[in-house]
Amino acid sequence: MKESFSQSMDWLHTWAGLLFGWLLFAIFFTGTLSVFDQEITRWMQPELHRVTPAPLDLDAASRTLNQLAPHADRWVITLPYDRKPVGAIGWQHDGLSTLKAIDSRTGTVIPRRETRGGDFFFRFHYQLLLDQPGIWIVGVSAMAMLAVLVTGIVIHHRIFKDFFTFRPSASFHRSWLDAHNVTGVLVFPFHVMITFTGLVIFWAIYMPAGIQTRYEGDMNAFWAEAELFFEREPANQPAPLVSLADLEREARNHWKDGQTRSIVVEHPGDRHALVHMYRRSDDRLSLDSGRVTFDGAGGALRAVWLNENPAYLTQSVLTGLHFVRFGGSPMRWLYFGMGLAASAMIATGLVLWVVKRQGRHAGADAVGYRLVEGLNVAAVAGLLVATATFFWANRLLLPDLEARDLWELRIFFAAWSLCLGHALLHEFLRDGASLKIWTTQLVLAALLFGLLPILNAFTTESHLFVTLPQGQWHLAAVDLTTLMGGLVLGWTAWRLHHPVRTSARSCHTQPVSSSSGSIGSS
Amino acid sequence: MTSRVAAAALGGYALTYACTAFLSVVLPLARSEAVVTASMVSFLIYTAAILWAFAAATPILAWFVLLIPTVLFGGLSWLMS
Repeated sequence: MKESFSQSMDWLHTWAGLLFGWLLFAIFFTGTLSVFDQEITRWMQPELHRVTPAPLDLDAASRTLNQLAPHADRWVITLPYDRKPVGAIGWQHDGLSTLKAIDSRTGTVIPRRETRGGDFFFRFHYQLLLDQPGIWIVGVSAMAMLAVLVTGIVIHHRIFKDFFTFRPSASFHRSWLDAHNVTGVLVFPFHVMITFTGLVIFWAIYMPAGIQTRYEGDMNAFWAEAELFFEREPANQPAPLVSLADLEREARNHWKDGQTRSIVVEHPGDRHALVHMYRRSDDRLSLDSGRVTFDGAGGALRAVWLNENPAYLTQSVLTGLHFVRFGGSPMRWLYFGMGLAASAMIATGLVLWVVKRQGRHAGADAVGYRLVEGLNVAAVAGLLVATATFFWANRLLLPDLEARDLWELRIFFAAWSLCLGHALLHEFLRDGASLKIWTTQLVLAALLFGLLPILNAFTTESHLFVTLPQGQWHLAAVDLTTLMGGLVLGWTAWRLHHPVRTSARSCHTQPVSSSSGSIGSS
Repeated sequence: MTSRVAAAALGGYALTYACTAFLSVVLPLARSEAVVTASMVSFLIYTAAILWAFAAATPILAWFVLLIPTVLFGGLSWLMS
């Protein structure tokens, strides 16, 4: 019985880990980048690097919106703060969204290149750019991740000892297993926390049972009760909007030393216009810390919601733990490091599946084996190449190109697809070439990341020789991180090509003997 | 193994749905608070259900233990709401 239990757990860990691992690596890696989404967006908009930060004149922003989008369904104004020093206005009209950077004093639009920036990684991370179906795919993967994490602990017999074990020079199989265990065990609580909180964010989509039984499936009725959310249809009678600056001052009375993050105006210019003010929440764990709603036409206070109900606040804290808006830069770097560890755990797990089965497959079996090998390279190294290419496209595409932001995305997915094609072609046309595909794509990613600061020096005025002396760390950190990434990837490729004790030839032609004490070797 | 995978994915979701509905009805909290509490717990229930589907001695037993409480809690929450 005991034997079959651990076999069953091992089976679940192996197969759920493999089948969801490709997607999970992409979800975790782009999620890790999203920790610095604001910084990445800022780096990708060099036209805004010279703008001097200043408090935003809300009435000037409102005038600009009135000129550019008087009949929009909704206006959004985002106030500048340290991570995002340039304020922005946006509007939605007939389902189309527009976003512009504005000068804080005059409210005039500052021309800048169109880019999705860090928001691309953020959106890909939770919905794969597929809207609702994407949210479901990510949710199913996250549930698989939870199951794989728990079974990982169950099948791990020597957890404490392995805490202190890393043998990069040992047998090929052993060192991959060590790397998988180190990245898995060392920050295990983070892996569980980030996966669980990721599911909790979308509880209303994934598990609508409560909304069904208590609200007859009416989601809006729930939000109205839980967040005192106030909505109404336009009256279709024009009425001027009151001063947003006055309303913001009034909203601040409810914030208790907080700042306003953003302002949403529903049905601007209508007698039924509503103004929602949102409190910034980087001074606390919970993601949502308050909203004040006013009548847009008369300025009367409609609702004050400060998120004080225990269960709802708990959900908001769990969401906040996932979004990491608290704790400033040190906390973001910690999350970034742990996110990279999670990505590395998934990547080494995928490699382990292959390494454990080396030399055992012949004939028809080999098709599946090669497919996995090829997908592994494309899912891991291919995504790294595509990410670096995305940054190169941002610097090389003409700033005023039509649909420029879409071209950046097309180039990202084209690079990823090419990597997949390259990996599969080599797997099926050339026997036993997997090590070579890994090194080729890793070297490519290393070069693209490592040379990015140099490309930046040739294409912008805000490269390391400017940002470092001026102490512009938010920008310099992006260049320095890609440089470090390039070096680490280059080192990884070099180590794959020149293993310390086992030669490259022997490690992909000889089957791996299951050494004594190795876990999970079946 | 196919049966266990189906038990984990479908049986597990059905059980989780029924438990969440039941907790949303019986928790002695305001309506919105009960729903949020039950929904946060649901992901832990689902994880446990998936593990059970693979830990059970036989697939039949796995299905049996998942479906009995599903029918029980589903029926109770339907009667009570």
